[in-house]
Amino acid sequence: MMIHNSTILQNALIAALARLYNAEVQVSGLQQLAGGASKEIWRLDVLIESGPQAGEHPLVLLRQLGGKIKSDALDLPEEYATLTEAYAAGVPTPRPFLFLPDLLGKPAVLVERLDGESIGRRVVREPALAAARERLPGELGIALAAIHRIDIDATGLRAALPGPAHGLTPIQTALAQIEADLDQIGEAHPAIEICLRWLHHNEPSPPSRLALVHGDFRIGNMMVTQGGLTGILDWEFAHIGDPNEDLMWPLIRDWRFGNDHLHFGGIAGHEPFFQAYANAGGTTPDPQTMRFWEILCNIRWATGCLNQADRHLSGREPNLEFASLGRRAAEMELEAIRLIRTSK
Amino acid sequence: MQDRPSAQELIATISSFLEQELLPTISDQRLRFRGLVAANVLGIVARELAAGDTPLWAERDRLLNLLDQFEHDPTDSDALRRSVTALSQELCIRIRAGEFDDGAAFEAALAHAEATSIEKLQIANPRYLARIQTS
Repeated sequence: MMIHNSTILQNALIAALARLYNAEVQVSGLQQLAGGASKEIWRLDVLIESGPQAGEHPLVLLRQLGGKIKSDALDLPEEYATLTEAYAAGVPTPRPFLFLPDLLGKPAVLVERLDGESIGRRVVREPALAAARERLPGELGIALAAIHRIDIDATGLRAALPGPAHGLTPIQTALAQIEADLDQIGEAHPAIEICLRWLHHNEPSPPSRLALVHGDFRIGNMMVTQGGLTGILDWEFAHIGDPNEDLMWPLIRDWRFGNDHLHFGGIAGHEPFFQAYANAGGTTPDPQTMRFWEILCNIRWATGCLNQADRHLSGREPNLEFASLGRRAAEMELEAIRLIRTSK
Repeated sequence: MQDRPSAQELIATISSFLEQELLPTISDQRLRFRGLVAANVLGIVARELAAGDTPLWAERDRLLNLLDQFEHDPTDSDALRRSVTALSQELCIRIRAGEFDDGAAFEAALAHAEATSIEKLQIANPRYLARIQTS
């Protein structure tokens, strides 16, 4: 169940941390940042009085509750393992602090609390972040190349994370997942279906190698200060797949937050992002492959909106924001159709 | 017949209460965002009520054409909705079976999908529609 009473959580945390670190522990400033039926997020400050971890730690607590957001979202232990490998590889992301397998009956993790702004619309518009917006395309290109360079075998991530289905390419796996999601939702969406047919018939050649894919790499899922990027957040959709997915996802129209002409997240053209990624050793796609992935990403997000609405409509997680997303799928449908029309 | 305010007038009244009286007093960012979402959703409801069944008739005509079918016109709104739902489901099955993969059939299905998405956005997000059509 969800914890509405922060005192209960505070006491449970103090007990768990004091036992682990064999020290006096204070937990203060507990404040819930987000909550849903699947996960709750709190900010808090932990003071450990003695021992190797002695000191003040500004942290974020993520606690898994019940249902997952999507069928392919990671459980908290896998998400934490991915974050841990990314941090070890030098990717700017919150420093993992502690995994608690059982905090009041549910798994929870503590990670470093980064300064900055994560809400996409503010990152794109806030006057105080103007200098950061100049730096972000380059910083994010370098960060993404670092993610895609992680050795998925040496780290064990290939075995731990979802990957392409047997005998299928990452794209074919994604298309099959979208079709399965549509069947599960059970509504008729001819626009998505006809775009899926186009995608089936226009698949580019598979990537030269599989990589760790963040899965939700875009403005809105990263922390930004006036100095630029402080960390990549939200690893719950990480999987093994085609690196082009992470390159094109941040470019789709919905993640431009109204600045339609600036394809990279509403802050720049795609070129400085791609250039930084290439300079850091990554391989960028040709225009045809870019277009294919832009269409696929729109269709995936259209279906994602329907999935979110279904969480509400099924009665599993009654929630106004999820409900409202049901009426947004048409935005991505129309974008995908227009991209298909201007292809070839 | 219900007394005034009409359903549309009631929605307009709630909208202005939300936007002008309630939202400015909310300092909690998360709650404020959900308040804005609520006001936006209410706008969708108002536009859908105003449009009535007109877009559904257009969608049904296109579906019958595309599927090369004839059926008698439904006699009420519920029957119209059932008809559009059933025809759309049939179209989806036939698209996925590959019947609209090639040439003219693909173009016809894509044109229907585009028209339907535009009709949805005229209700759900006319500002987005105006933006995407001028870009």
